[in-house]
Amino acid sequence: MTQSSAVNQQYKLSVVSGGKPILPRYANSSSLNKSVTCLTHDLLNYIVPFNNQLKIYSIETRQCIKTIKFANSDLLMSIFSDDDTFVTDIKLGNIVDTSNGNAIDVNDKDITIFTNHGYIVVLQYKGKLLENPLNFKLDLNDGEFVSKIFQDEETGATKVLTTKQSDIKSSLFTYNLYSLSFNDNKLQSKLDRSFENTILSTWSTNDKFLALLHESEGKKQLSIASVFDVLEEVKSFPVSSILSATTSTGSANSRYVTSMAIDNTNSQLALGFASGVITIVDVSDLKTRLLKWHIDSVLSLAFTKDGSYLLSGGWEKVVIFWQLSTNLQQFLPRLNGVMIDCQSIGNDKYYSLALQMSENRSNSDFQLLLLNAADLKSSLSINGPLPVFNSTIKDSVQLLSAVSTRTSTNISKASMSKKKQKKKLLKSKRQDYTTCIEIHPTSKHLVFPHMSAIQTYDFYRNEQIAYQYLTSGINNSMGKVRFELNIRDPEVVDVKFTKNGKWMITSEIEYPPADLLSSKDLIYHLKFWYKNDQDSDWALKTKVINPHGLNVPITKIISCPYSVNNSEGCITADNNGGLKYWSYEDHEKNWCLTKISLPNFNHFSNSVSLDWSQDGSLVFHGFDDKLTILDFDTFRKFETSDNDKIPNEYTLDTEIQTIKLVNSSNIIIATQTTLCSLNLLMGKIINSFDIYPFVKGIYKNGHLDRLISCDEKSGKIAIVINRQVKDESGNPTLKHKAQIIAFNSDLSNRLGTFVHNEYVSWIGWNHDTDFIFLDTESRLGIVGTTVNTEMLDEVNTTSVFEGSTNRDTFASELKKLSDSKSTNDDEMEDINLEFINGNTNDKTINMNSFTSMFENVQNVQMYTLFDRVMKVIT
Amino acid sequence: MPSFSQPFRLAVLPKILSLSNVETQISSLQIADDFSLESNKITIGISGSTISQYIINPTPSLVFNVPIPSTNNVTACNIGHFVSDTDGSKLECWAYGLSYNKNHTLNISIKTSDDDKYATSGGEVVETYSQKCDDKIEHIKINEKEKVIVVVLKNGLIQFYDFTLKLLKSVNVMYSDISFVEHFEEDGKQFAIILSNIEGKKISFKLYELFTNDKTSINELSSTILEDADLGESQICYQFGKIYRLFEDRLYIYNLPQCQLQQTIELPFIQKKDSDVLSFSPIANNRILLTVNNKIYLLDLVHNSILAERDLSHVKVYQLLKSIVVPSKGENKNSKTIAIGVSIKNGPSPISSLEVINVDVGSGTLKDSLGKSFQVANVKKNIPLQSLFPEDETIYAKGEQKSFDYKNILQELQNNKNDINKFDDIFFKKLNIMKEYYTEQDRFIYDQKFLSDVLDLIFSAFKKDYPRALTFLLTHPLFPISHTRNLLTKFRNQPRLFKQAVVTCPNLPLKELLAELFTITNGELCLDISLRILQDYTRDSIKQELKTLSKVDIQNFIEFVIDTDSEDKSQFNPQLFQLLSLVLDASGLFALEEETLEKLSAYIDNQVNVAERNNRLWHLLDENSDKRSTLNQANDQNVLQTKSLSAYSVEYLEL
Repeated sequence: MTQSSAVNQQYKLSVVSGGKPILPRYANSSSLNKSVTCLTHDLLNYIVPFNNQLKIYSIETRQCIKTIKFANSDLLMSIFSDDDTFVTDIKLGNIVDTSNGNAIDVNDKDITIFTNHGYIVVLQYKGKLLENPLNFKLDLNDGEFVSKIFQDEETGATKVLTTKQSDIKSSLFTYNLYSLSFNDNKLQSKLDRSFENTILSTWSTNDKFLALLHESEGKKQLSIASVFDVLEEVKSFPVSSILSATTSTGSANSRYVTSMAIDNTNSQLALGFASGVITIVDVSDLKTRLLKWHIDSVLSLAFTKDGSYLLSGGWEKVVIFWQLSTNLQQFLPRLNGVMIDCQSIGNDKYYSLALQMSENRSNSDFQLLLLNAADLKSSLSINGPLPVFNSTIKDSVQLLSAVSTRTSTNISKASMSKKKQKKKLLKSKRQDYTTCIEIHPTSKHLVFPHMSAIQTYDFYRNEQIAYQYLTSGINNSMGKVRFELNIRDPEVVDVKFTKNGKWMITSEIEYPPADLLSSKDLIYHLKFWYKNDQDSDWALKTKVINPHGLNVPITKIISCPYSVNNSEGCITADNNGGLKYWSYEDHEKNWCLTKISLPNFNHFSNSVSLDWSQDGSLVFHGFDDKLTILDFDTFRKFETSDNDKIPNEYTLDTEIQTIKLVNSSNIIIATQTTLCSLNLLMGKIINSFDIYPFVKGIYKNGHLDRLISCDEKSGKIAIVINRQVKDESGNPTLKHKAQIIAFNSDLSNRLGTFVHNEYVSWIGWNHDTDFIFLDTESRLGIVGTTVNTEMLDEVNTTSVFEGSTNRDTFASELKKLSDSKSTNDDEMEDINLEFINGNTNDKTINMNSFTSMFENVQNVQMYTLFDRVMKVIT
Repeated sequence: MPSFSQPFRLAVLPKILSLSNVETQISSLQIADDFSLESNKITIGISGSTISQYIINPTPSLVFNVPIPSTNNVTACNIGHFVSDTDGSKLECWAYGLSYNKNHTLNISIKTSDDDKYATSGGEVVETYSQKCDDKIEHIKINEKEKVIVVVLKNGLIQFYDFTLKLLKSVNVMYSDISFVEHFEEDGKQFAIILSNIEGKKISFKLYELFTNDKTSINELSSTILEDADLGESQICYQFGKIYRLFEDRLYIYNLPQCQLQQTIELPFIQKKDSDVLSFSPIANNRILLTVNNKIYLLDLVHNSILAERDLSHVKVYQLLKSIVVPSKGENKNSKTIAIGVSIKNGPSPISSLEVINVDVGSGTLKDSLGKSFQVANVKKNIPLQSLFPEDETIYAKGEQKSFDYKNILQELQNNKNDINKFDDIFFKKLNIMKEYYTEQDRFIYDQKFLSDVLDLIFSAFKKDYPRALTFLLTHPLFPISHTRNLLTKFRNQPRLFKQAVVTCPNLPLKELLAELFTITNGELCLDISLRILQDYTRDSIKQELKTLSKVDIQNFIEFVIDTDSEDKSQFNPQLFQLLSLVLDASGLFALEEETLEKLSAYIDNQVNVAERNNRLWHLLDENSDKRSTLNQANDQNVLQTKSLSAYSVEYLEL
């Protein structure tokens, strides 16, 4: 085994970052309190469950202070290894330990988490992760999931609410309430009560009351139950009884309850309707009054602790505070997403909101907000990476609106669309859930184009850095309701950075209004943005409308290497074989179109790929099944005196999906059927692999590019192969697994194959030694090695390819060396150290005499070293 | 583009044994540092003869020389220009080291200097000095600014002299066998590299910085010992922070300042490691000149390619003495430079002469190296399409064959080349081809060499009736380019294959397609070919190719297109019309005959009429909706329209 491969073997895969906040009851249409978060007793920390970890935020510093990663504990790993397992509730304190009764210990570090599959684990939110945390498993019936844990503050009694879908087709659920007890560390559960045919459910914030909307004998009935006092009479009344008082006539929307809330004293019940009306019901006498402001479905409602305020929210992206005594309203507008859940927590000191950025239909993007109740300023804003997948992934759910639109469902289609989606996910050959991400070359931040904005995400800190709108749309300033939901805001489809990191290049699509003759005439924008290091936002410098002409899309953007115009340039390609070179020109103080290669007017293809040799002399253009080599100086096909010997065009077997120039001699080409490495200097294909079974028809043209990445420093290649998992009988399931294969620069040596248990949507090189990938669960992982290859005897050959930069490193190293020596000399004179004088010359020995020897000591044999020491001292 | 010119002779060397011996030749000739593109001069210390200065342009000729005793070897030689302290006249300081047996002297001649770089007048010597040295002088460097001569002796002493040969300072480098010294400047500072032999195949590398504080200051910056490297048998050169060491057929590249081995390159064109006469010299960033006997190569060491090579057939051996390095930085994008070498003529009485060769070093980019690699391809002959997961058997269906024994199949085909049916049987069965045309099932037939062999076989064995295998091959996307030439002419009498080739065969040459297009009269084929041309080639390349075609062809084509009488015209109109416009663009309207021009004009008028008529009809249909929209506009006028100033300007590009 050669030395280099020994190092490469240390490539490792680990999922370390990313993830998205979990709204455990989000997928359950009957549950209205969607989100689960936990504020500690001292009101300093906020615990948020993610799909891959628990994150603990400090409210004061607004930073994540601790993460409990499931992958770091064997127990948690085994519990959460199943994809559909998630944290469904978090309770403070060790719920198992009933020794100190119900007294609340502020310094208690324990938390108890519950999963939907009935696992109960006691963890600590401060200090080290316990190696063997206490854990239990609740026995559940098939299809029954834990939904909520009720805890009586006075008695310390614990009850568990589970849900079970009555049958697959209906949206009715059976709710079971169990009481839990722990005796001698044994878990016992007893079924207290069962609620059949439940449509909607909610509970009071003090865990005492449960309000349910259920169907009995074809009629909708509202019931309120006390959770702990089983004997207490259930208040029950038909929905029609409160409707008749308000709207006897009207559309289905005005009778369809979309949201409910009950206050802590069981005196008021709030009902939100699809039409936007909120009805407050006085529980004692069933008197009602109406609160009208919303014009689309009310998606969330919550009472404050004392019941004097009601919070409501929905599509408008506004929180409304209703002062119930006066009917006065207060507003908090311009949230980032549609408000799907709200709670008043911490003795009304904080409001916790859950928002969904519903514009992204491919994924459910959640943001959790913690608002300070005093000034309504946000204390925490929590979300994961926000990728936009090519097609809708399995877990995403569309929100309910009064009308059915592209981004929402209405009451009649809600269950239909879900089934349709599932069928599509299972049966469709095309399984393209790839996404577009770019890594900033200097800050190493991940940048996600997110509809009309970009999100900047720090992989290493695992936090969002910035969220900036790049286009002008309705979304940016307000929520859209009803038919407005059909208006498509401009979308950022591609982001690139110049190699020096100073410029951002974005490509956008603007959609004309729907249902017009011109609806298909999309407008394409190319924008150039600038940012200084101290700025937080990118500033627009140049905008080009339809850069390749009317109705011509930008299929590919590539930024230029350092050697061209100080890296401030890029090439854009269209779907017709045309290329344009844009560069920042100092004399114009603007980005200019500098070179054009005209398109071929009769041939269209979206399989366009581009790459650029690092010395800037050649541009490689893959268009359909042809790879053309262009001379960048002339911006035409490369011509030499003997083109027969040196081909300037290669025809591949199928459409070229991506090309990656890995070093100065090899180009990796992925077509629909093969992955091959072409040696440009020899003009030969050196290695090729069959990728047809994993690629053909599965990805949209050109999207395979997102799953192949190249380490531009070492020339290593990583490719992702996603495969649908089949069940025992060979039928496709909703699950995927991914294999990431790392190759050396000419594909002759496989450096490693890694398996990830979820569909990987994107892989990219982090401008260092590693590859970063993102899966459909928004988790970020890393395939990499931290071994410093420069320690090797023979420094990796590819570093030579940086040409001019290599030369600069020599100059700077030399300067450093010469500077350090001259200062040493000064010191020597100043301090006038004691020295031993050699016999034969006037050389002095001091603390600096041997330093040069150790700068390169690792390859020197012992006697050589000794020889050198002797030379210095004699 | 990188290239060499034919070398020209600077001077014939005197017939001295050491000068005509291949081994000692290089060490007997010492070139001073004033050899540069600007100076137009070259100063050479020729052992046993003279220290001579030549001008290169316009005609190489001797300008001045200082004779030396015929027994003495010149071991080092250099030149410095300075201005006299006394009268301000321009002077040159020639310093050279001489050796005779164990006598080593450092000599200086101060002579007057002429500003004109083309002047052939020599000037005169005004002063001379001489100084005895302890050991052989390995290298001389003159610092013109400080007026200091830095002399490195073989025994490890670095000595500083002034221009009157007064010893200013002497430093010991600790190693006694110095055999390579190089001075260079970086960022305005002076540095020196000293390599010395250590017993047991080792080399000591030391990097010094000179003249930092005063004119005799010297600092050691780094020191490295290279193991397993023999300085005596290697050739060394330095360039831009790298040391190159040539040993046998390998080139080692060391990165400074720490002298780490960065890369080892094998030079396969050095065949006889022992007897080949090698010499090399840096020429530009990452590029070196290398001579092997009488061949000269320009090598790119980043891409491992031969940028240019030249056979100097008029001489037996050519060895490089020095070359002018093209600066890697700065505005000057000049890529032309010169190198000087010494050659030995063919024939019984060897005559050596100094010869200068012009070199264009190119840009050093991938562009220059494309397809010129000198690396031996360690590529297997057949590159099979490999499976990504060889261990996973579920990926492929059972019957799917992934590798073929091409050699045997070809042999079998060869044996059955007389029986067309058997040939087909073998071809389709052995390669497991299900359909008569290429499908993705056949993607494992990936070897272009095999495809091209089979094609060769088919074309040699069958003349009239081609096997079905050929139809399959014509649909294969990897149909070798080499066989697309003259393919269409071969199929002239095979309309089915002709059409197949036009429709599916990749990489058909444009020239042939156009030729076919202009001669064919079949409407359907015409459509196919025109579609093919427009799909595969850009308008630019079509125009380019059209320009080379004969006028008669073009005339015929135009008439064919505008011939309104021909049947089924309407269906392929758009493509042909587009081609017509390309033809007109390429040849120019005025190149046409008047008669054709008139016909063309009538034809176009006719087309315009049709377009106008369609337009009118369309407007007629659209009128209703127009009315409605004007109504809306009237209402809109009530709305106040305010124009806001835009934050940025918008420019529309007309392209």
